[in-house]
Amino acid sequence: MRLKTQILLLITPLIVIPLLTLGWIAHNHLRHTSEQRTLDQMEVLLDQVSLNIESEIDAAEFIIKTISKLSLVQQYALTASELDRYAIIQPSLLRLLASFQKTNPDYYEMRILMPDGYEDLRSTIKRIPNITEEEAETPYFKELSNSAQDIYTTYIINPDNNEPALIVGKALRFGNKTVDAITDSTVLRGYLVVTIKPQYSSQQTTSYLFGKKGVLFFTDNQGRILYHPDGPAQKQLPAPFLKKLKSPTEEQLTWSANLFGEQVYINSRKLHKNLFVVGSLPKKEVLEAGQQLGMLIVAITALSIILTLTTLYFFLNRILIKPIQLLNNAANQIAGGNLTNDIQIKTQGEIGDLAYTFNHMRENLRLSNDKIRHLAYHDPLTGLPNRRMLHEYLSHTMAYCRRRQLFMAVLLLDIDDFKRINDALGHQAGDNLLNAVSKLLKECLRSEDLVVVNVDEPPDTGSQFMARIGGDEFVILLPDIKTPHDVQIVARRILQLLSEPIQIANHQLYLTASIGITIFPSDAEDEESLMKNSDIAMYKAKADGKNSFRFYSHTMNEAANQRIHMENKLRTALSQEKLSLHYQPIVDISAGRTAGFEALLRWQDPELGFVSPEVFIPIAEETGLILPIGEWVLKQACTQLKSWHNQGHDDLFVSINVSNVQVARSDLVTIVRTHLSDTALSPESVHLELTESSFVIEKGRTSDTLKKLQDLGVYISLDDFGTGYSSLARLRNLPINVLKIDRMFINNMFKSKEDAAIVSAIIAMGRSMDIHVLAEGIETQEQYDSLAQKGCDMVQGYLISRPIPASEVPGFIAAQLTSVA
Amino acid sequence: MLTEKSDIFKTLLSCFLLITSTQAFSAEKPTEELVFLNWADYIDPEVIKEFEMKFNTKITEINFESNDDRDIMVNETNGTAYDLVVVNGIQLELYKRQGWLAPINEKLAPNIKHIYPKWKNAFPGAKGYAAPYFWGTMGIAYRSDLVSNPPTRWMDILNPTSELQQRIIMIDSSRDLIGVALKALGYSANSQKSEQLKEAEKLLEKQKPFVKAYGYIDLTEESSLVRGQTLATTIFSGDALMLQEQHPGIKYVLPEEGGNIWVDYITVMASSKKKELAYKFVNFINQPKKAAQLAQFVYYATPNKGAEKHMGSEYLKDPIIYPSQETLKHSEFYAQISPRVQRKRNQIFSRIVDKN
Repeated sequence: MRLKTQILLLITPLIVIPLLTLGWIAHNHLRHTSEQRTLDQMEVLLDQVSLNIESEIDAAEFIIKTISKLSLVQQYALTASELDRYAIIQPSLLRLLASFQKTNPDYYEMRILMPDGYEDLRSTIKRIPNITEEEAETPYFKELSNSAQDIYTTYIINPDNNEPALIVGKALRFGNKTVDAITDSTVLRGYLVVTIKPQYSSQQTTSYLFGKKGVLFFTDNQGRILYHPDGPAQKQLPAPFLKKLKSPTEEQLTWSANLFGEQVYINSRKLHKNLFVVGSLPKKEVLEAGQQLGMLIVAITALSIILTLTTLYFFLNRILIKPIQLLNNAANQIAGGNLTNDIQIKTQGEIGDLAYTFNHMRENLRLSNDKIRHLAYHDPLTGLPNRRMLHEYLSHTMAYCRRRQLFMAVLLLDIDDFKRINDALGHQAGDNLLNAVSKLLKECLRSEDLVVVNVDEPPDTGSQFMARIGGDEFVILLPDIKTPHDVQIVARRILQLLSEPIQIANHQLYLTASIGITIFPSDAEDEESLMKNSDIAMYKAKADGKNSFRFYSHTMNEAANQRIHMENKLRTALSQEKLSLHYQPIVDISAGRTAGFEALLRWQDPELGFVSPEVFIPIAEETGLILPIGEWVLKQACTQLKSWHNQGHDDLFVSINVSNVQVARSDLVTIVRTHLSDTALSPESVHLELTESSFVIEKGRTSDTLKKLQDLGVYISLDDFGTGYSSLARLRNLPINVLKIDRMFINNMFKSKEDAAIVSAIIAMGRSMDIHVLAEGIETQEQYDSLAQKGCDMVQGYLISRPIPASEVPGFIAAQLTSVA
Repeated sequence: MLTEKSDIFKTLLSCFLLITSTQAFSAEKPTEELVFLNWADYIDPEVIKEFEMKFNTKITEINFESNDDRDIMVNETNGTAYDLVVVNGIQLELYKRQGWLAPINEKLAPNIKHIYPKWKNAFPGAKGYAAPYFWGTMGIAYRSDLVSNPPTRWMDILNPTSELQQRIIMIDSSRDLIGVALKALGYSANSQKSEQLKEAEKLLEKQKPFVKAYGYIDLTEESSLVRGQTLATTIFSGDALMLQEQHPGIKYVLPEEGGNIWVDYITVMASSKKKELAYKFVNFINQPKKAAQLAQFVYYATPNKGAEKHMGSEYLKDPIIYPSQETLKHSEFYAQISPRVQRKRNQIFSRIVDKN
């Protein structure tokens, strides 16, 4: 059985039983009170009616006494002659009585009866038919005339109108005033009789109703119902009932009866000798009230029970069941391996404590779990990811690269002769060495790309990755490579870094390593093949003499080999003076003669033939060979110019190309100054040609270097202007003396209006900024003329001459002089 | 209950106060004063003034509105509050039987000799106890200028057309009111037949909703007849002429069915302590010259034969004041009726008038 059910089963009876008991007691008590209240209400009403009747009779008797004492009444009674009485006194008396009745309409009939019962005077409010004027035989008159009392009062049904009436009669006894008053012998002269509409019949019927069906009604001695608020009082009370009514056993005792076919509670009062008031309350009503009360109490009790149980259920749920369920869910989650979610229970007390402990436990579990995981996925010595992690990461990354159609390089690095070092210096030193190597490798790659902690969540798979997969073997993953050359650069950099001496336990160690490279997906498409091929490539490197890298792929190895071959050739060419310079004339348009030459590097290899500078210059720059080559070019050009100057052509200048690698990595200023002083050339006869990239790479340093060069007095020439992204406005801030318009614009001058406009703009701008403008690659006279017309300072191109060896220069100058001449 | 009781108290208290105050009034009367119970505007004040001057006395005049009204007033004090009372002929006998009237001594009032003997004996109780004052008829006064169909018969006001409805004032004396109804029905005003009386009551009952008031018309210029609020009323002939002076549109008619010929008498009360002065007053007003003056003031016919030579022939020939025998053919004096009929009439009247 569930805990919730158990608790409810235990608590429900504890609530329901007392509430039911309480409801039962309340019901009994309230029902009794309610019954009693209805019966009390009847008592009060009856008492009230009794009092009213009493005061009604009192008032009527008082009034009749007062009226009978009026002199007019007295005189009327004493006037024996009918003629006198009717002709003189009666109108007056009638008027008097009428005026009284006007204000007291309940006194609707006032009469004076003669002792023999003859109705002598009658004043009625409304026209009431008079059954007889001879009243002697009527029951009332009989009672009146037989009464010993002066005033006779009774409640009857008026035979004239068949309505209940209070009738009060007073005997009029007066002595004859004409006879001596002292004798005081009074004689009965007649009766003053007043018929009154009784209050009980004129009251609003509602004053006789109580409860729902309780009524008060009025009855006379014979059990005739005089007045009943529910309708015409026609019914006659049954004889036993009347008997009981007339002889109450105990006063004010409510008794039960069957009245007109209904079980009722009866209470009554005798109001007058001929008037009873009876209160009748149907037993059914009392029972109904009790039943209604019962229903109400049942409803209240039921509601209380429902409310209490609901509240209890709610709170139980909230403070006990729900937290337990939460704890249970959390435990299930932990069992399922989810250790990240805290239990959200904020309650104080035992449950709260339990939840806290639970969370604490879960956190500890999570930490140790993480530790285990780290141990499982990392190399304890270097802290680098291990083979297991590599396995996971590689599969993710392969999927990633496949999705995006990227190439990934897998580099397998093995330290050459590590076993030997290990054996010679001991394992500790070996371990230290491995640590140092991993540190170096990390530096070499960007460290943040290597942090891979949790393999559950796929890492940023676009990152570089490094792992130690055993002994002295490291694996480096380079996702998203564009060309094999990119890999080559990284491999070369690693080898170079490792070639630095490493200090281990007082030993200077010189390390080399061999690297095998596989490209995914072109070399292998699954992990196993990738690793196997990398291994093959690595052993190839080792076999080729160690301290090198090898691609698994032949073609890439070819390309790499060719490049290395050319590099070696170039190196040899430099040392063996296989490089030479050619000179292309530059003409000053205004002077109309050759003003200088651009020095252009030429490499004629016996094996490779003529190698274009466009091929070998990038290799030179990449390998750093450009530095000695550049220096050679400078020295050679300066020396050559000096010899021409010595031959008399001392107004010539030479323009020398300078690589941005030179600007960035060598002390160009010192080198130039040295050559200037060695050759004693005037600085302005030396022009240094740079491309836009030289100005852009490192703005501060480059322009600083250029500025210093300019300060030496040499001219700075901006080559290939228009192909880069420098804005014209930027030129103002650069140390420039000569602008060389790119040959492309010159070629298109007559084909594209825009290019023509650009050429014009450059020329105009150069003039305005006092910069010499030189147009390259002119091939026609037309171009020459146009440029001359635009105001271009200098031109260079096949129209004038191809580049020529230095030896032909004197002849060219001489020929030019001749042609000009 | 308590409030009802107090209402009754108030009514009774006011009854008592009325009685006691009237008695107190008469007890404090100085000896040289005469209390004269009379119809309103029924004596020339000049004559009163002359009498007061001549005999160094004061006459306090108390007015009543109808014969019944007067009966009540006299009755309430058992005749003791007044020295002189104007009584209509038919009541004289009853008054005499009540012992309220003092005999008229012709030696103390010698001018009574100027009165036509036929008036002196016109009613059973008149002889030796009352001096005829005026005689006249009861008919209808109406506004000829405001009424399109001038009434000529009692029926015209008992069963009125719409223009008269609620514009009628009916006299509130049982004898006169029931008499009018009887005459309208073509019976004798003195009828004792219960069938005829029942018919009369029915007629009056039918008329009741159209009656503006039961009472006697005011004779001053404030009168509702003068102002036009009342268009017809039962009236004594002379009073109609008096009102005519206020408004010429007022006309008098003695209805075709005939009316009541009445005679008013001046009586001296048996209880009066100033009978001698009272006789002197009777004597004073019966001087032919004074009688003529009085008659011309009230526009009634005087029973004083000697007065006739002091009045213009125009007055003596006025058909309203002195109706011709032809006119009077259907009119009659009131005659005594039996007590039980009287009682019946009382009840009829009470039902019609008192209970409204």
